[in-house]
Amino acid sequence: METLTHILNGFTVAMQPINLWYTFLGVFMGTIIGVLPGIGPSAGIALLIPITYGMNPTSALIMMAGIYYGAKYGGSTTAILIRTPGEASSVMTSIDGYEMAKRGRAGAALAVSAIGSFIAGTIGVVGLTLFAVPLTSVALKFGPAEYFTLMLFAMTAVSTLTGKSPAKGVIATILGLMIATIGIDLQSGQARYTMGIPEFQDGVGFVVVVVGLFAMAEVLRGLEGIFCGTSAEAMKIKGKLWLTREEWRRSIGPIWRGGVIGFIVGVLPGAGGTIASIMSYTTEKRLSKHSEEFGHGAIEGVAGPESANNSDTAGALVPLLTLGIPGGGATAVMLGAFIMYGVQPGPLLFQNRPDLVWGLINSMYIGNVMLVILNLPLIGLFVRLLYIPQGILYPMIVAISAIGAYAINGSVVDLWLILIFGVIGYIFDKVDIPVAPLVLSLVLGGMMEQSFRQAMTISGGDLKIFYGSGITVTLLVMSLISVLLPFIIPRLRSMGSKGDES
Amino acid sequence: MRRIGTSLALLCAALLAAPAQAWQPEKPIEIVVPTTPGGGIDRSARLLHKIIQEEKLAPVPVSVANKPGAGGTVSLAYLNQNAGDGHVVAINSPSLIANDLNGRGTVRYREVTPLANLFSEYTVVAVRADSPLKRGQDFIDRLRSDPQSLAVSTPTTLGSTNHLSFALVAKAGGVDPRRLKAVVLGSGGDAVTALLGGHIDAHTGTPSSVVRMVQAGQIRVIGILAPKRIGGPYADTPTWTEQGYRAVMDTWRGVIGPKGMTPAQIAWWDGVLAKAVTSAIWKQALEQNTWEANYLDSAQTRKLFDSEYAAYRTILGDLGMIK
Repeated sequence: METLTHILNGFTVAMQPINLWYTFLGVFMGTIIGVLPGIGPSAGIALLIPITYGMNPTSALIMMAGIYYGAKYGGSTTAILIRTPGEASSVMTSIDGYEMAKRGRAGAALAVSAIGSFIAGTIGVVGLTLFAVPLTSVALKFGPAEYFTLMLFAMTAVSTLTGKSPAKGVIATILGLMIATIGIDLQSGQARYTMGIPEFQDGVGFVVVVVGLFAMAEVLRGLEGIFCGTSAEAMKIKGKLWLTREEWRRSIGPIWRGGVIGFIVGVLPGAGGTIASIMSYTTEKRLSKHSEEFGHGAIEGVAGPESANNSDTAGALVPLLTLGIPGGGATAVMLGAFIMYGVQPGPLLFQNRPDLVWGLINSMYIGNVMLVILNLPLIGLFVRLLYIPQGILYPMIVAISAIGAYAINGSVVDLWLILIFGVIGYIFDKVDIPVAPLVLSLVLGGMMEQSFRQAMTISGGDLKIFYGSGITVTLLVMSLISVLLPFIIPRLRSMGSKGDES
Repeated sequence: MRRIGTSLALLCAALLAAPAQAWQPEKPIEIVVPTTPGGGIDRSARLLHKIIQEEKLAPVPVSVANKPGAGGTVSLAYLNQNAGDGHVVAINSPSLIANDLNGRGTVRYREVTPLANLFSEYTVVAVRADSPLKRGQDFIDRLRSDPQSLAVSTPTTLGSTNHLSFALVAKAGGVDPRRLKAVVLGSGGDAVTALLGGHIDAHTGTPSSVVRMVQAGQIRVIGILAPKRIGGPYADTPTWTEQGYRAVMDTWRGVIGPKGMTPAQIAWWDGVLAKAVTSAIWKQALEQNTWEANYLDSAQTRKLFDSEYAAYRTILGDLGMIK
């Protein structure tokens, strides 16, 4: 009962004109930051900190959270239009979103991203409102062994991304795993494959690889087209800008599932939006009746991941608010802001500052409404990008990619890397090797290896730790099912066609 | 005692400030941060930035630039590209010394100009509130019976101050540091989550990394690696030294400049930083972050680096981590 009063009071806080203004300011800036690759929400929030010194903590945090979830709305724009993910977690969107744009459905892809983000973002906030405190104990159950089995389960999804030739999928997967080993190994403190380049000590950045493989490779393909005269005709919008009835029908399921997946993955510190979007994508591919369309412009492949990476932000606030533990870069900066205002996030925050907590959470409902209103009219503007002549568009993509890659660490090495990965992506395309497995194994490989070794250190080398808890056993069984499913489903189908429903 | 030290330092700074008229910054000042945004080092840089601007300590604009990478090596390399320039300074941490010894760094600690130490964070050994390890003695007893019996998280890398803290405590208890079970988790946050979830037995980290959990009664600190007790929420927490095990680990945070700075430039910075640490904003921030005031001027910081180098050499040698 008391909590309900607090929640209602939170709405009064969130509805104050000044807080509405800061919510708007936050989500507006977030959208812009999201559109620009490289400049992520953590850098955006950090830049704002000096401006917020004199502000009321609640207003300042409302604005910072606005930037955080607002950036996820913007991230899909460049992914769909120019195959350059504006945020790491929009990487899956640049696969099918861009293919949709090629087929003249850019408007629909952008619309479904915005609507999916809105619905899933709201699902996330509802989850945060209802389950923040109970979910904390679930997050705590995840130790290194649990993380390893979770990564293992996510890794089984590779098989669904391999395309026609499993061997080619394996090549991409292994290359991704190899890149993931570059850097200082946490458990031994030794540098691996750094080739004497200090920047490599922290590994090869995910965004850098993705921008190279997707955006730069696309530019190289475009150049080839221009020089050989085989250039595809400009991507014109076909049909209406909005979703068709059929597209809408196919998107609804992925949006709901993506919202739930994103929130759950978000609660686990360290997992994050990229893994949430990958899990949503592979889930949808498995469930879809048109799984062959994935990679060629399936709307489910945009709706699911874009929803998942949005509800992930609400999930990530659970450990931040209830434990004072940041799950990623943006929440780490927010934790710094909390401390600066003399507010200590953690188990006592909900008791000591209910006005601040619920004001912040409830502002997110409002912020999501603002974002969808803000983003839908922008679609008409953004799709005009496609009408830019290729001679101007390609240099623009190179410029945006280079600025984005450089903005992450201010490192020139990253500029060379996007070029190198651009060439790799171009060659992969020529010989028909899919890039998605590389991306997946790069994200998961490092975490999988480290959590495996952490668990082994804890157990003293005993493998029992991996089947010692309900969570690990469940995840192991799910991984096994996931691997076997492609062999079982065709049999069930053939049986089903003979007899009843399978 | 510390207050006297600070006033003495101030006096020195004031005396030094007289000839410092010779140098004044002429273009914008850049404060380089060796990490990504978020976290204590970044926070201290932004705080310093705020103080220098609000208290008008510099006649030019000031900006903060994050140059993360390679445990601070990237920021050091960047700093030394501006050799002899008094307009670019960086926030630093003990990784400057550790990287010099373990061969990971490309810049030796003697190749930068120490300008000040700002504050100290003495590391703590923390356990879950319901842990059977009640005191430092219980921890040592367990390690003595079997060094492998306790899984202790030491974020964020081997050879970090957190890892060295674990090694120092064990060594003080007569346990071979090489036989310990040190689990490296990706971040301090991951480590605290793993501790609360019961996946590890203990955690070494800064006081601020666990302060919220300590106040909520979910985590207990069984010993601080400080020369004497620190205040605030840890006023009742014993040091390792008073429990009979001499182990001190100071995760200091200071300001360094590039190599080749002139005495006049150093003197200007001595004056500015001595004033910055007396501001009300600074004092409030120390309290909020559970940071211990420990201002040292440029000459004292040089001495700190030298003595820390010797100390790290010993313990990293015990761990077999010297290159």
